Amino acid sequence: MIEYIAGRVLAGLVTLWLFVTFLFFMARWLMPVREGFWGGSAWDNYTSFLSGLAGADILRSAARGPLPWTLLIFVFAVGIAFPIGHKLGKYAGWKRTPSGSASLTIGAVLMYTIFPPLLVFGLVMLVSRFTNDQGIGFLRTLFNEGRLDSAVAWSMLITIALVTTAVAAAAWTTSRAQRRVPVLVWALLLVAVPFLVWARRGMLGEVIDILAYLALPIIAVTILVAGEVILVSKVTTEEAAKEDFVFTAEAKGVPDRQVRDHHVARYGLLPMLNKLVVSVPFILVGLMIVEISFGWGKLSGATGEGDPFGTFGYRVPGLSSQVFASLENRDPATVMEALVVVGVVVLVIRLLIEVLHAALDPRILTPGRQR
Amino acid sequence: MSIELTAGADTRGARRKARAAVWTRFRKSVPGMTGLVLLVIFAAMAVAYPILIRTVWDPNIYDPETGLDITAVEKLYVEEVIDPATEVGRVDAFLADPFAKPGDIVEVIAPAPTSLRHPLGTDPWGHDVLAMLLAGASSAFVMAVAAAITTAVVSITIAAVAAYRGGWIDNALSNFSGALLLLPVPLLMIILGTSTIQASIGPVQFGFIYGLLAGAGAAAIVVRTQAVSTMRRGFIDAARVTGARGTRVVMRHLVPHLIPLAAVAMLIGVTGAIVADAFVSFLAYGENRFSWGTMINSAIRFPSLRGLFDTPWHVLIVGGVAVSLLAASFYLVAIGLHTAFDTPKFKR
Repeated sequence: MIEYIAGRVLAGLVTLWLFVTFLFFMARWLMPVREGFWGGSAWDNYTSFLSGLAGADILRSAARGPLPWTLLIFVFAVGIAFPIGHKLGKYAGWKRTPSGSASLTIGAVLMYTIFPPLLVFGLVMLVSRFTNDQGIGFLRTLFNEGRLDSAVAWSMLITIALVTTAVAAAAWTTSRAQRRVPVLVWALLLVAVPFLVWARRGMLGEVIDILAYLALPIIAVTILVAGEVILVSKVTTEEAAKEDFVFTAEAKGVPDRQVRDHHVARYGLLPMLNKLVVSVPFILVGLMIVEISFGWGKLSGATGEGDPFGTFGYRVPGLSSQVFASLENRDPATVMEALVVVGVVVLVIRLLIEVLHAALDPRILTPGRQR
Repeated sequence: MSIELTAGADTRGARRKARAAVWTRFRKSVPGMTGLVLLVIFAAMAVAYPILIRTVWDPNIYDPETGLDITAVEKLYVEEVIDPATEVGRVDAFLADPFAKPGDIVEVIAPAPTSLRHPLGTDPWGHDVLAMLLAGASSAFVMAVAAAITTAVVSITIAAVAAYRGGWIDNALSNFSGALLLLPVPLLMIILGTSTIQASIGPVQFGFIYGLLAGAGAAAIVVRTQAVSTMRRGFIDAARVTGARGTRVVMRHLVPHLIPLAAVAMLIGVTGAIVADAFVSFLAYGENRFSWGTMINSAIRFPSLRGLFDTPWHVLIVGGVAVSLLAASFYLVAIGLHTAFDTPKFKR
């Protein structure tokens, strides 16, 4: 296992280097800059850029600033969308779903392909109607009081990670001991324990403020991600339904629902993880587009001049604000830094999924015997 | 993923039969047919615009950027400011004529209601919404086709070379694809929209660059898996034993087995290209061309003191829904194709 992880990390570093090199040359020759920005030869710029990266200052400054907000939206959106999407995709992909499987598929495609700004404006208008307010500027009070502290966001993320690991370990142990515990219990623990921890540490108020402030982007990203998860889960269910053991179970007269839920859907989870690895960058870019759409008007808008919160009186302090602000300022160094952070985030998420996959599927660790 | 045309379909008749079977299965797929119908509608819209603007439509009225219909004018009486409600009207009047005094009557361009002349009305600047919709369809469609072709060609080439040569070439290409996978391509297109070559990126160039990056990244990884497993199959060895040269093995025996999967990957890639294209013009970065994103941008920029509720929603919704539906139609066709190419287990 350790050898496998080390190998993956090494491959990841090579990939990262290729990625950074590609980014550098794109920025060096294509991005508009102020006079005398680069100075020196391309090779000198490249080496100084790489040595700047090796210091990892970029990651540190991102961690203090925009990174945790983007990660929080990502974690909550994926956490909500994955179980729902998996369940719906199972219905859509199962060959004997009585009716509605086609409309479910079409609905999922529409969720996935909806133009993010349209989704964002729809949500903003909906909220504005309910609050009799012009836009969603009232949320700004949560932000202005200085409650949105990135340290709190980090401790939220760490709590979620620790609780998830603990619950997964507990679930694994009980299943090893042949004790059946309903999935619902684990799901409840996963949701309740973090809140208990936050209440115990006296930061529940801040957490709720943060969640209220980020609720709209989380909803928008959840819709996009759920569409994607439904589609992937549909495909893997269809694939898994072709395996021999499904045929055997059906021949033995196992009820249809049980074949679907216990034989097919669970088996389909592994290839699904594999497929979602490819989706991670696209989920992230959807997330960034949603973030920037909420802060619309701050960028190129005639309407939002002088107002750092843009047309809707609202902004998400995530990674995209850094990318777009520096694009507007003709500052390629900051754009590259933000993109490197995006790359590292994708790489880390990919590594986590790969390790999880290897832990669940021992075939990966025995080379030469893969399917 | 096991997607392929019937193996060993080497005679012309057998191939035609296989193709007919694919079409039969595609027709049964509801999502696939929905997507196909939508796609045909969009294609008709894309073709209609250049024809209409050259024959029936007067470019002075219907051009999406410079056209203006002066029948859509509202007369506004400028009053003394007494309460905030009239203040709003006064600001609108001021935008039309900075020297208006209280008591004057000012002409303000207003959105025209739906009529035979303007089936979807006009936006607040007097541009016809239907003309904008059709013009956007032309540019989006050209972009999508360019992206689709490039994605398919690039992904098949990389996958075939990697699988056929194997060894370090395969390793290098896989790593390269993996590195591109770290880069969210839509984000890169947004950045290119601000770059020094921004002025020369039209719809075709946009589609080409997107296809190059998406094809060498995500699509190549998917297709390569299929290529590697195809290379292990018996008929490849059989072809080699009979003395077929490398190019013949690749072109006649390997590539035909990659085309179905590449088609699916390409259609899904196009979905991203459409959304990215619309987003770039929505941000007003690609200013040299008109697209649906431009419509949404102009709608949301409409200056008014009455705030969000005064946004010309019909323009915004028409543009946004068109982008979403075009992207969806490509994805739906991809799903239909996937079902159609997927042979049932016991018929293999």
